[in-house]
Parts: sequence; C-alpha cells; structure tokens
Amino acid sequence: MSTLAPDSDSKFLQRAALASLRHLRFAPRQRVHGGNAGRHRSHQHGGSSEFADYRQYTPGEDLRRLDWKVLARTGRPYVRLYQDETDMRCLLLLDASASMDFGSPNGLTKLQYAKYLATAMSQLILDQLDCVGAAIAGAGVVDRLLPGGTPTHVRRVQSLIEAAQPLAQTDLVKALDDIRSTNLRSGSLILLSDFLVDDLDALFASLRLFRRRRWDVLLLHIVDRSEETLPDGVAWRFEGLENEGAVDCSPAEVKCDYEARFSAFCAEVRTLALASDCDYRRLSTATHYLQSLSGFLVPRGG
Amino acid sequence: MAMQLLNPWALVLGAVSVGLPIAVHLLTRPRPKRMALPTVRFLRGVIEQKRSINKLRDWLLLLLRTLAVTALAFAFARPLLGVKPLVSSDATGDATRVVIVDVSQSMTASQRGISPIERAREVAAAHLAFHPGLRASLILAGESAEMATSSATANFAALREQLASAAAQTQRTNVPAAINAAAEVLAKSPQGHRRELVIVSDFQRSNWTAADFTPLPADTQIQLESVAPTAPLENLAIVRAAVRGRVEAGGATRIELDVLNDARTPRAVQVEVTIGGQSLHGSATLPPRVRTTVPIAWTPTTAGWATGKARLLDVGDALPQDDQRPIAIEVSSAPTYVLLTRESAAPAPVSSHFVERALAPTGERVTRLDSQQIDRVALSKAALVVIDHAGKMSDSDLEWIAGMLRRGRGVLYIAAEPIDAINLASLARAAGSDWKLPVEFVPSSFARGDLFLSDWRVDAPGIALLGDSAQAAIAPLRFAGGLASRPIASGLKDDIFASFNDRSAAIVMSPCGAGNIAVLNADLARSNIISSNIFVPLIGELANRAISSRVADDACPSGQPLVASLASVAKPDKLDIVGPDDASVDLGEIVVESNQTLWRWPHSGPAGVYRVVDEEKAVVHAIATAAPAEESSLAPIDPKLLESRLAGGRTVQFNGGDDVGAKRDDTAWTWAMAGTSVFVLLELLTLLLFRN
Repeated sequence: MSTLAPDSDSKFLQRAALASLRHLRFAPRQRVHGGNAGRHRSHQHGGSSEFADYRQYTPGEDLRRLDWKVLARTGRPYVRLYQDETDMRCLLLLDASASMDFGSPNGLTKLQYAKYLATAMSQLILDQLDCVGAAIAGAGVVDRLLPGGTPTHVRRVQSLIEAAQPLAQTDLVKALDDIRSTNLRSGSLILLSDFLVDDLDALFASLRLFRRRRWDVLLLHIVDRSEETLPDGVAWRFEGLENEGAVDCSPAEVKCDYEARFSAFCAEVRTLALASDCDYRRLSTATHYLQSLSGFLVPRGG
Repeated sequence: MAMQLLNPWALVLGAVSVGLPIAVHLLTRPRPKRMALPTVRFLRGVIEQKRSINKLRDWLLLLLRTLAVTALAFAFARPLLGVKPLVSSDATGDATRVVIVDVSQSMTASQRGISPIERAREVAAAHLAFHPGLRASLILAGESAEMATSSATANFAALREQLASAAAQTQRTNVPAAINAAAEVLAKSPQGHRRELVIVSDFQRSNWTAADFTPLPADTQIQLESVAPTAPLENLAIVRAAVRGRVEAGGATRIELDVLNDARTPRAVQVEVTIGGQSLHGSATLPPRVRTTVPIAWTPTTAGWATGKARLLDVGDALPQDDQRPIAIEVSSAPTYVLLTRESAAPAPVSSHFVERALAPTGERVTRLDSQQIDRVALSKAALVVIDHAGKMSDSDLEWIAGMLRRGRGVLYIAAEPIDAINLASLARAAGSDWKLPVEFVPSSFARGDLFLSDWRVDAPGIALLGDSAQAAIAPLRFAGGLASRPIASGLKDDIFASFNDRSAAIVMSPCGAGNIAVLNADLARSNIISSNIFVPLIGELANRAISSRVADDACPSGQPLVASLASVAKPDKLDIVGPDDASVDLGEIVVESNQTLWRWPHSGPAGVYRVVDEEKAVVHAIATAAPAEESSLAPIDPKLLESRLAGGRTVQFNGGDDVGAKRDDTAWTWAMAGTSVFVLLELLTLLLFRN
C-alpha cells in the first residue's frame, strides 16, 4: 500500500483540461453513508436545514423536533424530518489485466485510457470535497488506497493509478471479494475494465453483493476500436494477451462472425450490468476521455 | 480390361502438374502478420465453428483439383482401353504362330449383312502380319484341317493370299483335327520360340464342346477370337431328310424331314420336296429350340434312284444354306428272294417247298438256286437270301453272302440240320465284327424233337399279329430238328424273339453290317408249324424285317470320307461320277475290291446330289451330301468353358463381342478431357457453395 505522497502530479492528470469540467460533479444515484457533512443525501435524517417530511410523534422523542404549529392547527403531534447530507466515499477499481494493455496503433491502450479516466475522476471528486480511493485489480487487489478527502491523499491515489502495470494473472472476482472483505462503508464503486474475464456470471454475482450492501456501482466498459473489428488482410496471426495462444486466420473469412460475437459479448455485459442494478457505460478509446467523462457525469446529475 | 498408354510420359508430367500447384501454394503462402488481440477467445470460437466447414471445403477443392489435373494428364497420355491380347504384335522375340480359321457352314450366318467369315478374314489377317522373328501357319478348319503350308513360314503374303480365298463350306468344324494339326506345327517350332495359337471362329457350342487343347505344347498361348454375332441369331434348318423302311415303286411311303427351330419363339413353316419329278408340300408349327419331324407323303412311281431336295418356303433366317437339303433315295421294285437249297424244286412236302410257298404263293418272286452251285449274278439281284437245307456251303459262297449282308441285303437262315452250324460259323467268320447274333448255334448232342416255344416276345415275327390269341396258337406247336445254342456274352438278348423249352433259341434276328440276318432254328418239315396259321405270317414277317432294315440314309456329311458299294454293277470301268454342278471338286474314284465295286471318296463334296452313272447315263448309285445337323445350331459355347475346363492347362484367352479384332479403344482421352471440365466446374460450384 502506497503511503508517501508524490512530489509531482501524475502524468495522467491534465489540470487544464479538467478545468472545463469543473462545473460538473459526480453524484451517486442513491443515498450514501458518509463520515462527514457533505453535499450528498445521507441515509439518515438529521438536523439539516432541508425539510424532508412529517412523521407522527412517538412518545419519548426529542420534543425539539415537534412541529408546534401543526400541533396547534390540527391538534395532533407531528415531528418534522430533515434530510441529513453527508459526503461520498468513492472507490476506483482499475482492472490491470493483460488484456487491458491493448490499444490501437498510435493510440492509448485501454489501461492508459482507464488511468486518464480514473485520475480525472479522482480529481473531480476531490474538487467536490468527497473522498476517493483506488485499488488495482490483479490476482486479487494488488494495491489500494482507502477513500480519503485530502489533496495529499488524492495525489497518492493518482500516483497509485499511474503506477499500475498490466499483470499476467488477474482475477477480478477475487479483487472484488478483497474489497468487500475490508468492511468499507458503502459508497460508490467505479470499476474500469474491459470485462474480458473467464466467468462473467461470477463477476456480476460479486457485483450484486456490493449492490446488496448499498454500494452505488458504476461499470465503465472500456473497449478499443481494434478489437471491435478485425483488420483487413489475407493472413494474420492473432496472439492472445492472457496466455491464450495464437490463431492464424484470414480475417476476411471470420470478420463478420467475430464482430457478431464481440457485439454479443458487449450486449451480454450490458444486460448483466443492468440486471444487477449497476450503472453501465461503454467507453471507446477512440473517444477522448474527457468527452466520455462528461458523457456519463451529466446524466448522473453533474 | 487392360490399358496401355500411348504417351506414358504425360503421366509424369501430370504428377508434376499435381505437385506444382501444391508447391506454388506452399511457396507463395503469405507470411502472417502478427497482432496481439485480447479478444482472441472470440476469434478462436469463430474459427472452431468454421474449421470443420473449411476443412471439408479444402479437402473437396484439393480432391477436385487433383482429379482435374490427373484427368488432364490421363488425356494427354492417350490410354488404350480393352483386353490386352495374349497374342499380339507388340510382343518381341521369336515366335511360331498358328492361325486357325473356321470355315464351317455356320460362319456364313449373317447379321445385318455381315457374315462371320468376312470378319474372320480381317481378324486372321491382323495376326498374319509381318513381325520380326515371327513365323506363322494358317489352318482352314472344316471337316478336315487344311493347312496353307506344311510348316510355319515367314511368307505372310502367301498366307494372307490363302486366307483371302478362304470361303465357308457346307461342313462342320472338326475341332480335334484342327487342334491336332496346329499341335503338329507348334511342336516343330524351334527351341526358344514362343508358341502362339490363334483360333478365329464363331465357337458354336455343338462343335466346340469337343475341343481339347491338351495335344498342344504346354507353353502354347491360345487366343480365341470370336467372330460370332453378339445378338442371338434365329435359324430354321432342315437337318435331316430320310425315308424309313424300304421304298418300293408304287408303294406309299413317307419322307421324314427333321426341321430345327433354333429360335426363341414357335414358327410355322411350309416345306416343299421336289423328288423324282414330283413336288410335295407339307407344313408344321415348330416349337422353339427343338427338332420337329415333318412327314411328307410320297408314292414313287418308278424304281431307281430318286433325287431332289427339300426346302423351307419363305423363311428369312440367319443361315439360308441349311434351309434346303438334298435327297437321294433308292426306290426298289418289288423284292425278289433267292432260296438256296439242295432240295428238289419238285413239289414235295419238304421244308424248302413250304418256305417257297410262304414267301410267294405264286413263286414268281422266288428264285430257287442250288446251294452247291450258286449263280452269283442271280444271287446279287435278290433282296433276301433264304437258306434252307443247303448242306455244307463253300466258304467263298458264304463270304459272298456275308458281303451282301454288309451291303444291306437280308438273309433268312433256316437252321434245320447239324451241318447248318458249320455254315453259320463260316458265315460269322466271313462277316467278322458285323456279326452280332446273340447266340452261337452248335450241333445238338441228342436228337431234337417234341420241342415247344416256352418264351417269346409279343412283338416277335408272326406272333405280334396274333394278339391275345398268341398263347392258344403257340401252345400246340411242336418242333423238331434244329441246333442247340449257346448265348454269347456280348450278344443283345433282345434279339432273341423266341426260345424253346430246352433254352435253345428258336427265332433270332440281328443286324449285320447294313443288312439283317434272321435264323429260324427248326426243321420245318418235321414240325407241325407248317400246318398252323402262324407259319405264313412268320415267314413273311421274317422276310420283311430282314430286308426292311435298309433305311434310306440321310445325306452324307460334307467333307467326311465316303465308301459306297456298287455291288450290282457289271462294268465298273464304264462308270462315271457326276456332281451337282460343274464345280471342279474331287468326286472320288470307282474301285473294285474283293469282287465289290466301290465308290471311294476321301472327302465328300459340298451339299448336293452326286450320281454314279453307267455308260448309258443310267443312275447306278446316288448320294446326297449336306452339312451335319449340328452346324445349324448357332448358339455359341460359354467362353468360360473354353478358358477353364477345355483348356487342358493351357493359357487360353477368349476375345468376343463386337470389338473383337478391332483396334483397341483409343477414345478414352476424350472422356478424360470431359472429366477435366467436369472437375473444374465442380470446383467452381464448391467455391460457390462454401462462399461466406
């Protein structure tokens, strides 16, 4: 676990570019548990100034919350309820599998793209005074920082993200299990992955456990243009990145079927995500990461 | 089927051509570009799915391409298809070859205007072409094997000239003779020469079942070239024309025509017989595959030789030559008898008197001769010689009588006295192997008398007429005299018509040469049979049976040797032989041997009637010649039979059908080219079918 804050910014942090997104904020889709007062609605009703509702008075309650005016008008005791507001704890989980180390020529790899996204999001979350942490998924969680809200912590987070390297052995399910076993309070889990795992059902089963613990789960499915379609040519040897061997073929013969399979895979991931009540965004490395970022921040109430 | 290639190098070229596309494919196979792909798992799944289909497509394409190139190479190689002949001009080295060409009558059976003999000439000529180291001989196989040269020769021009003049004859094929002649030539072939025998024939079943190749040297290569038409031929033929029994002028008789219907369906035919200036007609429906006898009623008007022919009317069949058959029948005048006895001609109750009266009540047809001084000229004119109480006859007289027997005259011997045993023994010796009496008569050691018939056949002479009353008529008969008899082991018991109670033979009759001899074993004068109603029928029927054996023969098979007896001719040197036309055929010669005038003909001529005429042009003798009946049956023999059972261990190859003798089929390259086109089209079709 990284403990020291870096002396300089992460190379994936582009402050000037992020300035255009300063008006946007990352909001959870639901109430969250927070440690401090913040701008996000909490699960708890407390002494905030934002009126929420009335509730019939129960003997023994604090009389200070009794709405005397209503009692005078109706003769019945009611208690005024106010929405408690808290801060958000957000955890960025970065898939560092070998398949993420793939990108189009002269373009970003999926891992690099994810690093840009994660770094930008950590900065945005810091700017909206929320807490952010990060974890790198290998064969489990290989490195992590629990959510924190100080600039120093966020630099550490960004440094952690910058230092992530593609790993030969990855197990995303185990990484999720590791996070879940730390008994973190619920918050937002942002998973950046290409979802090229052996068992999608197991992965989403694990994600459903997060949802059951009232985590807000956002799945960012990163795909590359070069894996959406095959290149032209007579003979190619395609080599797998995760010890999958090589395949010789003529792309023209299998192109249609391959594209159909890949589309079916993406559709399956999306279906499973929505079925698990997770927010799902499919992001292409061909699209600038800031555009992709704004693309899902705006609908989330940014 | 064997195959030979005109351009075998083309196959090497084809093999290279087959390998070339593969080599080009391997050499020009693009080097794959390498690329990392995280989703290779999806690609692998797609390829796994496609691999089975692609594999099938690739194999199909490879197969079709290979077949196309192979077929192309095959076409360039110019294959020759067909049976590789056992005997061919392709063979190298010295060889002795004998070519047998069938010239029998069946070789003229035509199909669509082409006769087998014409094809046979062509096929045989191909085997008689010059080839270094080859010597050949030609045998024309008819009734006799006619060799073009005495031994194998290299003068093929002479052989082909002989072959060109070969014509089918109205003869059968004497297969053993032809094979023996070939064996003789092949046996003389020099050491180290290859021995080859080529037989060109229609291989009629009726002739070739007698084939036996064992006389040939064991290393002889035998090639049988069948020129028989492939389609079964239908043939109608008169295979026999004869008269049963003695033909007498003024007496009604029947000419029996045996007509063969060698077809699969019944046929109705009309026949016409022209003989002795008469034209006779008949008709019949002939069942398939059998011979049917068609009787034609005929009443000859004059004695002598009646000649003519029988023919089928309005018959269109494969072999017209056998639709007619020549006929030569001797028409006799009323039979005359000679009675040889030493008894007096004066009317007296003696045996010869009773016999004479029984033979001819008026006596006009019976000539009584003294058995001790025989007038042989008078004797020769008799149809039947009756010997009764003749005493001891001279051996020369008995030899003369034996000669008459062989030539078809009848003899009725009434054995009454012991001396008759000596006469019968002498007659038997003179007749030689023709003597077939089932018993030997010997003098009795005791006086024979009071004998009666204990056994008799119901068809015995004189008894057959009695029917149910035979027992009653025979019972009172008592006989005396005669001879004892001893059965001969080789004798035919059926020739004993009646026996006495002492087991001696009473009535015996058997053929002897062309005639018959009958023996009545009793002294008639001492027996009561002369007063019974059996006597006259008995003597009359014995006489008739003794002379009725002279059945007019069917035509003599053409080509076979012939010896005809002209016994009654007075001046043999004045005789002349006349053939049916002016053809310069050998007609044989007239010779006198052992006091007999004979017409000796080593090879009887073609079908027709041949006559022997005297200086006054009167016909003394006539003979009809025709092809044997088996020549009319055109069914071929099963080739497997010739190649196996009849081969005698020799290597035999049978070439049959329409392609025999023809050049081997060299049109296979066109089929190979067509195959190439088909394979290319199939390849395109495969590519279309498996298009993604």
